[in-house]
Amino acid sequence: MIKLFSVTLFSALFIQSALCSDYLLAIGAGGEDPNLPTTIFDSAFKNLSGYVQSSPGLKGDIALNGGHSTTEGIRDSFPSNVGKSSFYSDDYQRLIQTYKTKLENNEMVQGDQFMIYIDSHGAAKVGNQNTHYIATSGAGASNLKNLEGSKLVDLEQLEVLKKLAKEKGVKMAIVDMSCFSGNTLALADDNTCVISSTGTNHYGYSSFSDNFSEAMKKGKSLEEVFLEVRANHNAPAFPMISTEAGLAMNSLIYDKISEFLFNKAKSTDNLTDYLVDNHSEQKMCIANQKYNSLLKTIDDIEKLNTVTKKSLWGETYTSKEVDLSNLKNLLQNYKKSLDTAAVKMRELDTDRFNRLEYISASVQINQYTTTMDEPFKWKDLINSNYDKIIETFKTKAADPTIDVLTKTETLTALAYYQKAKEKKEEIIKNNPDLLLIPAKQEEIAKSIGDTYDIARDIATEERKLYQTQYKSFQKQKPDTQNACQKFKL
Amino acid sequence: MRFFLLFIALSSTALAADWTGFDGCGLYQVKGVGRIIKNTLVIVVNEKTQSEIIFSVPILNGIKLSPYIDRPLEANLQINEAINGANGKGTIQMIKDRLPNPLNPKDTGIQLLTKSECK
Repeated sequence: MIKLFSVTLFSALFIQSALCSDYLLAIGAGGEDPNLPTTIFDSAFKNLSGYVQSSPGLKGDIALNGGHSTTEGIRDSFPSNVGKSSFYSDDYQRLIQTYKTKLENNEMVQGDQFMIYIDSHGAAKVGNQNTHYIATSGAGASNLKNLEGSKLVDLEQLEVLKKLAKEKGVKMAIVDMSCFSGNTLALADDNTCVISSTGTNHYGYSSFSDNFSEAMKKGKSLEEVFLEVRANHNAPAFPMISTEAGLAMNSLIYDKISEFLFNKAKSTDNLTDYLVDNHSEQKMCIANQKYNSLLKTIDDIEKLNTVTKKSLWGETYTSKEVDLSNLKNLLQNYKKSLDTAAVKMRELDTDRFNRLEYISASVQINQYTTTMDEPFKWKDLINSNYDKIIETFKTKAADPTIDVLTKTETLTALAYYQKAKEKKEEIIKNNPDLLLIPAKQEEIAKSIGDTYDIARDIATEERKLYQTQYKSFQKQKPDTQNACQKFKL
Repeated sequence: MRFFLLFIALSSTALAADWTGFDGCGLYQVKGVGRIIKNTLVIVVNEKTQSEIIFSVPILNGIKLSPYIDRPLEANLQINEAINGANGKGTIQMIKDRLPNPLNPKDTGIQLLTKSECK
């Protein structure tokens, strides 16, 4: 009886798994210089092609590039069961519509798995966006933070697929390998696993995608692949996963360690902006609090993972399962450099920009008297082009068609702007360095040199901390709705 | 008859939707750029597009706008009369720098914050 039951159950499970389909939508390689034959995404897509070849029955689409011959060769090497196209905005819209229709028409059904693999240049989140933009083909990005120059699409549009997949019981995964991809975790829920190559405020590095796509082997869960690859990823990024343990890790350390992963590499300088925005005493105080909290967290993790053992001779001794002393030393050294730069920036006394000047002007013509009386910040005075404005009001005042009230107001404005111009000249005469502040800020940031290496070393040591604490979180509270564990390759 | 009804329906829909984003008088958040046009300091929203709107401000209120000439800005503008075509009038309540997002076509525009009666 038991034998029969087992055989029936096994058969049922086998039939169900045999009937379920895997879908892959891979998009990317946009935003690269259109004059080159290759893109930085080639290696990852080559690996992905290998994964598809080793996954019989997998259906899907690859929308890749558009213009780079080598990259297009990789796209064409994907097996014939995968639809192939370029990756322009139209392709993105078309593919979203295609998969929406497949889900709506029940071509994709309960038990199926649907992975969207994104590997392109990604932009920092702007305004009220939940996720972020990625670059499509056709134009190279001149600025890797906002992707200026390239053509963009919004990952927010994947929301509709995620919702439909959940409704239909199709397991979903979104793997975003672009810069600032931590923002895509906003699309995660108990049915959709989201993995990113970096945090919400950091650049990503193609080595993560290269290694991730290579580690994608049949039978592994996405969580396994992520943890395996993250542990060995030594670029100054903060890869993220949407499991409970992953989200807990993000809350525990991402904000605190963020500034120590910033660096001054040529194309991905996120440190200068950070220093310009965070050198005031108040901001440094907040940074110190975060730093101290980070050190305490590191100490706590070390303590929690220290075990007492007994030697062969019966003596007890403690053994650290994870040694984070090197991480603490690296953080301490980097903090010193950042603090020195911040103090130098403060010496520039940028607070002067916020000083107020009170200017007033009054004109009377016949029965009309008008007065302008408004305080101006030094910053506003220095930024104003009074020559242009004064010229405008002189022309307007000379217009014989204007009425007396308008003329009175115009002359008042003219007098006001002339006084403002004099005040601006006086401020600049007495504070000539004010105009040089932006250049000096950049100079100070440069003085700490290329900090890529130290940020990379910090990232490498952070991996030990992450791996250890992630496992602790898993043990403390098993995640029964873990979409990343349930998604099997 | 069917075509006539369809025509009426489509026409009324098109007329009801105001392409400027103007939804009656009130306090608006306005994202645009400061300019000098025809000897007047103005805020231009959706510049060089078919939905461009030019807001002029009273001469005395223009002081607030003067540091933002030829710069991207975000302002709270009290609008007390309906926009006439692509031209509007308003008074600046608050103004600040705006980080332009050239990648997002919806980066500039107007948004009603508080509705009030037109005067």
